[in-house]
Amino acid sequence: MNNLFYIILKKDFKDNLLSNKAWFTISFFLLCLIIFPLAFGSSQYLELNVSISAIWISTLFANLIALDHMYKEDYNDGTLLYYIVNKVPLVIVVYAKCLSHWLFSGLPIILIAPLCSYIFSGYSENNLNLFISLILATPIFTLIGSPIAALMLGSSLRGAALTFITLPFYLPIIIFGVMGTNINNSNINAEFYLLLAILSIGIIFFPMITVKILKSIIN
Amino acid sequence: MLRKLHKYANPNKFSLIIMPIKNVCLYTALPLIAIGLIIGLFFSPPDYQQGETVRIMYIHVSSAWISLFAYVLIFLLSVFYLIWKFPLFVLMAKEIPFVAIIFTLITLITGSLWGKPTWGTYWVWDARLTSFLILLFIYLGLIFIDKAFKYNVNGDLSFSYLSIIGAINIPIIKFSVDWWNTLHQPASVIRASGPSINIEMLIPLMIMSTGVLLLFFYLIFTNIQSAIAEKKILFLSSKD
Repeated sequence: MNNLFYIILKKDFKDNLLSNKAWFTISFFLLCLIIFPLAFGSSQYLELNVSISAIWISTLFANLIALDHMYKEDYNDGTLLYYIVNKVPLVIVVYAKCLSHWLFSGLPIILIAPLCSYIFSGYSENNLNLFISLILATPIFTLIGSPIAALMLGSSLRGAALTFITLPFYLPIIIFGVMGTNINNSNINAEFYLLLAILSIGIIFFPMITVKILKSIIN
Repeated sequence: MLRKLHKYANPNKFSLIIMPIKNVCLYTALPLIAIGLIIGLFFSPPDYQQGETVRIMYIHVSSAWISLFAYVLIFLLSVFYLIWKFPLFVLMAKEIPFVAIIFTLITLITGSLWGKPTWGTYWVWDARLTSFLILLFIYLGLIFIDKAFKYNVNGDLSFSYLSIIGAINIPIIKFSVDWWNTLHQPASVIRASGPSINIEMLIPLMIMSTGVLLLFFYLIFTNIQSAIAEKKILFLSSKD
C-alpha cells in the first residue's frame, strides 16, 4: 500500500517537473504579488495590513490556478480509468494527488511568503504568525479544492467555472487565516486552533468525497 | 410505502399532478401576503428600540427563511437523487437556485436598508451577513455548474455533489449569531426556549412567511413544468 502511494506520487512528481507546471504556480504567485506595490503607486513600504492581504490573495489565486490540472490530464489520457480497472484503491490516488498538489503549490509559497512580507512592508514581527497560518491554511485549500476539481471533469467551461465555484468555499479559511496573521489580535491562538480543527476534519472528509465523485463520474 | 410513490416519479404524471397544486399555491399565497403586509404595516406595534423600521422584518425574515429552506430542499433532493437515481429529483433540484437567488437578494437588500437606520451602516463584515453572502455565491455556483455541463451527462452528478458540499454553510448561517458576537441580532422566533418575540408581531410574520412559502412553491412548480416541457422538446428534436 505504501509502495503504491510512492509510485503514484513519483509519477505525479515526474509529470509536474517535466511539464514546467511546478514552476508555473510559484511564478504566478510572485507575479501576482508584484501587482500590489505597483497598484498602490508608491515606492515606499506597503502598510502591514496591505502586505498581508496581498500575500493571502496571491496564495489563493496561485492555488486556484494549479487546481485546474489536478485530475485533468489523468482523466483525459485515461490514467484514472486505468487505476479503476486495475482495482488500485482510489483513496491512495487521491491522497497522492493532494500531497503533490500541496508540495508544488503550497510549500514553495509557505517558504517564500515571510521573505516577501519583509521585503514589502519592512516588518518582521508577524512573520512567525504568517508562516504558521499559511502552513495550516494551504493544505485546507488543497483539500477543499480536490472534490470540486473532480466535479468539473468533463465540463465544457472548466477554468473560469472552477474558480468561481471554489472561491466561496475558500472565504472562511481566508477570514481565519488573515485574523491569525494579524499581530495586534490579542487572542491569537484561537484562529490557529480553528484552522487546525478544520484541517483535521477535512483531511478525512474531503478525500472521501473526492473518491465517491471520481468513482461515479468515471463509471 | 415507497413503491406507491414510484408512479409519481414519472415526469409526465408529475407535471399533471402539480398543475392544480400550483394554482392553489398561487391563489392562497397572494391573499396571505396581502393580509400579512396590511397587518404588519398598519396594525402591528412598533418596536420599543427600533421604532417603525422594525416593519422591514416582515419581508426580510420571511425571505431569509425561504432562502435557507430552499437550500435544504436542494440538499435533500440531491441526496435522494444520489440514493435512488430518479432523474426527476435532480430535475427539481436544478430549478430551485433560480428562484432562491431572488429571495437571497431580497434578504440582503432589505437587510442592508434595515441596517442603515439601526446600525448606522448599510453593510458590515459580520458573521451572519458574510455567510449569507457566501450562500448567494453558492447559489450562483450551482447555476454555473448546471450550465457548464451542456454536452455531458455528468452534470446531474456534479450538481448534486456540489450541493452536498455547500450544505456545510447552512448550519453556519443558522448558528453564526450564537457562535460569534455579531451585530446582527440573535434568533428570536426559532429557538430552543420558544419565541421571545411579541405575539402581535409574530402573527403577521407567520402569515407573511406562509404566503411567501406558497409563492416560492408556485414559482418552483412553474419552473419544473417548463423544464419537463423543455426536456420533451429536446428529446423530440433529437429523434430526427
